[in-house]
Amino acid sequence: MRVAVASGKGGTGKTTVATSLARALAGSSRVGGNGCGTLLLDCDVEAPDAHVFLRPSLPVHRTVTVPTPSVDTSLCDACGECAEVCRFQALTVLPSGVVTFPALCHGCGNCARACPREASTEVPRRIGVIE
Amino acid sequence: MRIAIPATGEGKESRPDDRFGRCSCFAVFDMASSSWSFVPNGARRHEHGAGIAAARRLIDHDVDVVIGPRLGPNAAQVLERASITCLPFPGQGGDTVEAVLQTWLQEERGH
Repeated sequence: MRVAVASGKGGTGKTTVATSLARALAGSSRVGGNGCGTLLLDCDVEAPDAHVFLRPSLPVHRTVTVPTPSVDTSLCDACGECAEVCRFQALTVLPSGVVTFPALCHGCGNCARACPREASTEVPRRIGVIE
Repeated sequence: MRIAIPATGEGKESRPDDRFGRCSCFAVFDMASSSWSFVPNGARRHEHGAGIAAARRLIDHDVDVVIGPRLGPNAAQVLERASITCLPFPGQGGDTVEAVLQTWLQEERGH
């Protein structure tokens, strides 16, 4: 059986209900214990906090990165091809050279592919940790 | 020297726009020729990075000074890198882009 607890509104008690339900079903203080094979998935992508309620041990710890452009200024001739293909304006070409905005980059890699001088390469940017 | 002011429409009697990246157009005054030109702001339709694209457009139009609303950090960075001066709208006397320009010119002469 799968039970989804959802609400479009914050602060309505989703986590309280979900964690209480999980604990009751598991019949123990730890989710994922022997209970009845209970698994709780906190699918809140912005602010998951079920772990604050349940304090589980999380063995997996993995850094997540997205590739973002790094421009070698010795190779770049400011032709603007990279900025042309970026739909997020993560690069812009000024008379003084290319300026990158890593926070706007979605990691598609178009800029590196478009660069005729291979001046733009992708470097990993840390965006968070999976645990 | 060329001065750009975000505007809600084309014409020097247009109201200044309180958005930079998503303004309707830029009213650009050229001091050498004492004439206005109006640059449509295509960047306003960008889903992302409108401020950056708008700033880029002002560089293409050889703008030296922007008089406008408070800029976002990305647009501010682009203009700064291009040595374009950013000034806030005057507190008063800025109902039209012409008035904004005149207020700024008066302040400049006062200095």
